[in-house]
Amino acid sequence: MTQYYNSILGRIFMIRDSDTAISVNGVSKKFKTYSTGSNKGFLASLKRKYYWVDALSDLSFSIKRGEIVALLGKNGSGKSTLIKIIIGILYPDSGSVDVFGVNSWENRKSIAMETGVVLGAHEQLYWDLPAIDAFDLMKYVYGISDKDYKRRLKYFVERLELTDVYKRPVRTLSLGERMKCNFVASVLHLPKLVILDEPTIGVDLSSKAALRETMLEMQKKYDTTFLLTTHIVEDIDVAERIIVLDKGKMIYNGSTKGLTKLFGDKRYVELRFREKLPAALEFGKSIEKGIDYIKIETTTKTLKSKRFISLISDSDVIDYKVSEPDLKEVILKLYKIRGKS
Amino acid sequence: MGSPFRNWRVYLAFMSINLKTAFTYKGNFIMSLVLRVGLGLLMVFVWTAVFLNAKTSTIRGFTLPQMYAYFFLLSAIGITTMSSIRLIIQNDVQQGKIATSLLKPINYPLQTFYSSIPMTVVWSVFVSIPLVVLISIFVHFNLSTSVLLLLILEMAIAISLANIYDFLLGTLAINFVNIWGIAGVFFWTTSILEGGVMPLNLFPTILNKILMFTPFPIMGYTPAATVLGTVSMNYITTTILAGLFWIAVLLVLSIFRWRSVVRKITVVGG
Repeated sequence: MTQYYNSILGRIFMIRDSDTAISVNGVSKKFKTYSTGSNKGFLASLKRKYYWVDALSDLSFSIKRGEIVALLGKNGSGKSTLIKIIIGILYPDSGSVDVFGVNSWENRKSIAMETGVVLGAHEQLYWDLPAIDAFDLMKYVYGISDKDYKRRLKYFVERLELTDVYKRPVRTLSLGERMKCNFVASVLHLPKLVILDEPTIGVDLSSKAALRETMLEMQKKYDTTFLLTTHIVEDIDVAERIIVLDKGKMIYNGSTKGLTKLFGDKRYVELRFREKLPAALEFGKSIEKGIDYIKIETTTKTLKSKRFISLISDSDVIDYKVSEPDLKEVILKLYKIRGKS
Repeated sequence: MGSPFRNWRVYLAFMSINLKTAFTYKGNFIMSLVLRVGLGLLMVFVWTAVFLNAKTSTIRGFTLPQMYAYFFLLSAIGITTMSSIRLIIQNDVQQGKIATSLLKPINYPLQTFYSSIPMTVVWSVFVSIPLVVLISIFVHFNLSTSVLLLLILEMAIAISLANIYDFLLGTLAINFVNIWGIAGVFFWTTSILEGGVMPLNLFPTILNKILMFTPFPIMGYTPAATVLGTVSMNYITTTILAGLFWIAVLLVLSIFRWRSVVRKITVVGG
């Protein structure tokens, strides 16, 4: 009975179109796992040592409607577990998750109408059949009208360069092509929330760009919310916000810029000289060195110093470039520092 | 578990897609057919040897041609009642596809049921019915309208029981992932209790009486014996009622089982 009322309430809230797409409140989840120890031989696998692992620890954050958020973390950091809890197929040990204002695992079916999910390699395509058969199935599952279905299919197929792909048996497609077909199967019903778990596995550069543009277009046109999980830093340039997980804990929640700012005034400066490098260049730690080239790790304070300004004004310096640490480096450092605490 | 008739177009689409998948490998389909009919042949050799050694023309009311017919009828019944629900669930659990299925606004147990039904229809139309017609050419049996109606009722109960069994068995994949061994032991045991090794009236009387109240006879022995006319109306009625009772019990059990295992579902990975 409670479930029935929750479901009714769920529908009412859905109609209201909550401004918060996802709200995660104090979610924790433990898993029981085992190791076979260091014993060798065929009996080793029988000697199992069971122990509990904290997949998620007291996680709280929210995502607004229409936001594109990247969930970043190393393998085993708890990203997929969190995704499964958000979409209501995994139950947390404590805490709660609301999707568009309703509890996700009590209203799984009503939320399913409003979400589209690509779970990495877990495909919704049929191995022996063309992707078009899975697309047709989605038409019935989500009750898409013939007219809308044809229009949307044409749009996504052209956008993601699948014209020569979607009528071939799935088993003959490359991993990247299957990924794109999975994406189409997940968004044909134009869901309010799209969750993409490792969506760029095996996808080539041009397809990655096409996926990115499609996401941005859906966000602009339909106010679609995207939650994208990945362990590939380069994939997150589409996101407005990053949430970084490490060993089940949230170690960062904010903008990409904010993340680089977290590490203060660290800068890299590359200098190219007319001839040889001067003997003394004490502006910071030397990273790379050539006959007429040097890359130094320094600080903004040093870059603003009179000594440095006078150096680059010198006619011996023919070119110079200042850059911030790249995201990859920042995140690795973040894992190192926050992961320990 | 929801109404089986609601959103019928959705489930019709699942039926269609599974039928297409089943026909992708035509060679595999034909070899499965040969294998299943071949199992009946095995029992023909066994029972020919039994009759020759017994030096008698009937064993508990069965003549040798009736015994042949019994096992081929049992093959035909077995083919029709065969369900692939457990395989669907096991594959979904092993490949992590159960996650994507649960993410859709559909009823997963019903989805597995409708995915399994097309093959039941195909096997029945292309194998079971022709097999029964073929047997009737060699062994005379009275397939009157009343016997046919009774057979349809018995088969409907048998198919329902087989699918609910298979669903319950399939849910074990959520706990054990690979249930090949468990399923093997289960089918070996139920095959004996359904009369797959010998007709149930050859069992000790007390065991046969107990079996009358279990779901097993209606899934094999009763329909085959009904066609051959070697069983009393009293036995048929009791096993039909027992079958209906067990459908209700197993259906309730599977609803509770599904509610409990759906909480335990964790998909492989990260």
